[in-house]
Amino acid sequence: MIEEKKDKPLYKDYKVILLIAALLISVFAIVSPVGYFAEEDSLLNVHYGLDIRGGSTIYLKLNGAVAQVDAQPRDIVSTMGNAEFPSGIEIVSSMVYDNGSAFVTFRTADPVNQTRLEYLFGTNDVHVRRTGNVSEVNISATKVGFITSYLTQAYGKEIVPHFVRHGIEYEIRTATTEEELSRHMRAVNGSISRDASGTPLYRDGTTAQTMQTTIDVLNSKLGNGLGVKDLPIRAIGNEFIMIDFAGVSLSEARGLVETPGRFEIRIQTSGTETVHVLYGDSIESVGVVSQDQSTWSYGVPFTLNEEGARSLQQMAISTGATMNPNAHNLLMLLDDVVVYAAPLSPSAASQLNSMPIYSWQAGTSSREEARELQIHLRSGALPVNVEIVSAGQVDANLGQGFLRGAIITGIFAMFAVALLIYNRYRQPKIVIPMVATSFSEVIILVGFSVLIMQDLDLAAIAGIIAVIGTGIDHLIIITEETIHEGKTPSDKVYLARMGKAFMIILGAAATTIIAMAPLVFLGFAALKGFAITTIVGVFIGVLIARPAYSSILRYILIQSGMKDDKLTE
Amino acid sequence: MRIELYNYIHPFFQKTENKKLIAIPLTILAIALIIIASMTIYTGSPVPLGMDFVGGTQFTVTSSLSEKQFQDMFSDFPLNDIRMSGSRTILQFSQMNSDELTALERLIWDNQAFTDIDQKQVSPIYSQQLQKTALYALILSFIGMAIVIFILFRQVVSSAAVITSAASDILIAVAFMNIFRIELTLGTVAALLMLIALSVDSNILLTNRVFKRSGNLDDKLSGAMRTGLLMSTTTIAAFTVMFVVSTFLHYIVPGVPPIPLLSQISLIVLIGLLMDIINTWFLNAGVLRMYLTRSKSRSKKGGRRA
Repeated sequence: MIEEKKDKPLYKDYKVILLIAALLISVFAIVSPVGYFAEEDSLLNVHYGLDIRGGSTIYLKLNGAVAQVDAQPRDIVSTMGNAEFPSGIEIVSSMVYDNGSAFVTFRTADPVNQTRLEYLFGTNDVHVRRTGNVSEVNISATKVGFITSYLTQAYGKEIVPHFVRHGIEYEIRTATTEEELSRHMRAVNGSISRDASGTPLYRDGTTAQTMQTTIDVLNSKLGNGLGVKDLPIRAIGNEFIMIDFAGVSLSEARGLVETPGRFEIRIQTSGTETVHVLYGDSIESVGVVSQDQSTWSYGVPFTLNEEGARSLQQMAISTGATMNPNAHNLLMLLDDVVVYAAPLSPSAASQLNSMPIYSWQAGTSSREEARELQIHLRSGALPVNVEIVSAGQVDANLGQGFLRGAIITGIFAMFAVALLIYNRYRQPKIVIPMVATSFSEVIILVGFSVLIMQDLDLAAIAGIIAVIGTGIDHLIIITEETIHEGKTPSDKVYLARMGKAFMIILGAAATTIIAMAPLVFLGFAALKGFAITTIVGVFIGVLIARPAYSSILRYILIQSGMKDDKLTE
Repeated sequence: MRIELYNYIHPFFQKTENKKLIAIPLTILAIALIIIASMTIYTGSPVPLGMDFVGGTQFTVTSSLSEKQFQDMFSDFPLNDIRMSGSRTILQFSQMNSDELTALERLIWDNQAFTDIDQKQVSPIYSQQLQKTALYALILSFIGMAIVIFILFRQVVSSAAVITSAASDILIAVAFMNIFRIELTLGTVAALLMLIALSVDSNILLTNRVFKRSGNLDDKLSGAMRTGLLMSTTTIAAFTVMFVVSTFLHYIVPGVPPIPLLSQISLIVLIGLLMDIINTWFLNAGVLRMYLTRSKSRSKKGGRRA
């Protein structure tokens, strides 16, 4: 009995304090009307998933590929030139320097349009010398530039080179296959590069950067359409995007995704009067934001197709913008809202007098503005082709029914478990703390999901029920080690036994976490909530709830005089 | 005497000799493997694949129409399968072009005869991707579990017994999916993963008690069995409730629709956990009992190795 005074009161036990603190924080998170996690139109701050709130989900596939390829500029110019000039070309000389720059010179009997060639090969360095009826053309660019131009021409879509550690990756922003790319490369005596083990350096999907741009564009476009900010748009791996539309029907959601925003360029005639120049479909590609080294201003390069370039030239001349650029601003509109306005540059204005310009640059004063403009320019077109590969819709009524079912499941599951425990121990002073601990695990888990803004969807609710199941398992292990034939052993034996109990619990918890981890990392969007809930639940159980339970149970048993110091193993 | 599973299983465990005891789960496992192998040969897939993994469009509606009426109504569309459960009907269509799909959607969403509509659509490209991901997830998850078990026990026989027992739980659950035509969906993949985690719980308890405690082997086995069976029954109870509520409650309470995701998860976990009782207490415990008594008798003979 002298030992009694050694026992700390329960409220001083840090394990119990931790549990109570976690419970208080969770309850606060669930009911608090203020905080970043607060739900405005609901009493509780629980963020339900789409299958409970009702709404639509769309999965998009980004069509594209990333590959490393090789080909000689000479062969590229020969192939492209012969396609461009009806009477063919003859290569005079070519060179690739160590620093990557390259030139090719060829002769042709056909008339040569210098701007057209500059556009085709993506370079300003095209020189044409005409002697008699033969033109000698010199094209200077980089080897990467030649390959990019060739692939752009072959696919009719934007190709973006990226410098990576072991070479240059070309991102093909449209649907393709390894065979198709290989065929294109063979046409210019080139090939897809291989790594040391002979595997072709080709993968489907896009670069992380393009994925992000696509998400930004979708966000601005869909957000505009629905009047919401920050739609839940998530990347799944490097090929898929998932979008949740709460409270929107699938047909409406599909319409929003499939109909691009309407992008338009107009020219100011006089005062507030403007005339139409072109729509977004005339914009062939939008480049990455760049900074001018001399003026330090930012800009977004974009290219126009034949029709767009001619239309712009024609309208600039007829409105007088080529003569007096500053009186005739060029306006860019997205869904009839002006997003950019600037005059033609003097050099562009004078060049337009004689020929159309394909490559443009829209200057802005800051990088942010440029980023935004880039997204607007792209609202006519996403950076890559996308297609809807999966979609789903849940009726809001049905979702409410699901929620009711899930809550009933939780209550009855808890009740069934309590009955079984009672059947084994026949003592409310064991059953009540056990069920209460299990219940507080659920509360803390829900509170945590509120704090990390994790959606509670049906799969996550299944995860909660799984956590109740394994949680009770572990509480049983603790109870069995604490009580032996209705008695609890001395402190020394008790501590040794708790050590063993927690060995078992930690082992079981580790397997659960490892088993669920692939779901979190493999891009399994529909089951991510389930995996996260289960993993977090296991952590909460092992770190907070179960240690506290062992203290509480031991305290109750000692208080009711069930301690037996003679008990050993 | 209290009604506990322990009172039924323990006497059987005591009186049955090890080889017979181990033979029971191994026979079930063998039958399961035969089922899975023949399914793979006949259908090309070890489990019936659900819509998530083959693609198509699925509607779930509440209505009072009969199966015949449904068939007439959608005769113009590639209707694959109709499944009815109470007033809920699941309609599965194969891949359609977007015009057909729009027409079908209009027909269903605008029809007053249908309420509580749930629509899901998966393209073959995405479903193939999902198949791959699901397979990776299951394999990675199992390997991860096996590694944890090895680290935990650092002993070949006991680790192998636990891993075999867990693998057997999952394979038998997969065989049951074939027998009951439970399709592999995202929900059942989740259930199989959960099973990987749950199936080792009582095995870890058993191995720990047997190796890390002193005392008589029979006492340790009985003690572990009593605790382990209580653990299994509580988990089974929780998932039984989930199964009953998500599958049958809608017959009694109209406000609660059937919840296919929870129904699938709970059914698979239930089958796996029931098998886990046999695999843990017959296979794993049998192997441990055999191993420990054998090594003891060997050391009595003189311990050739030592």
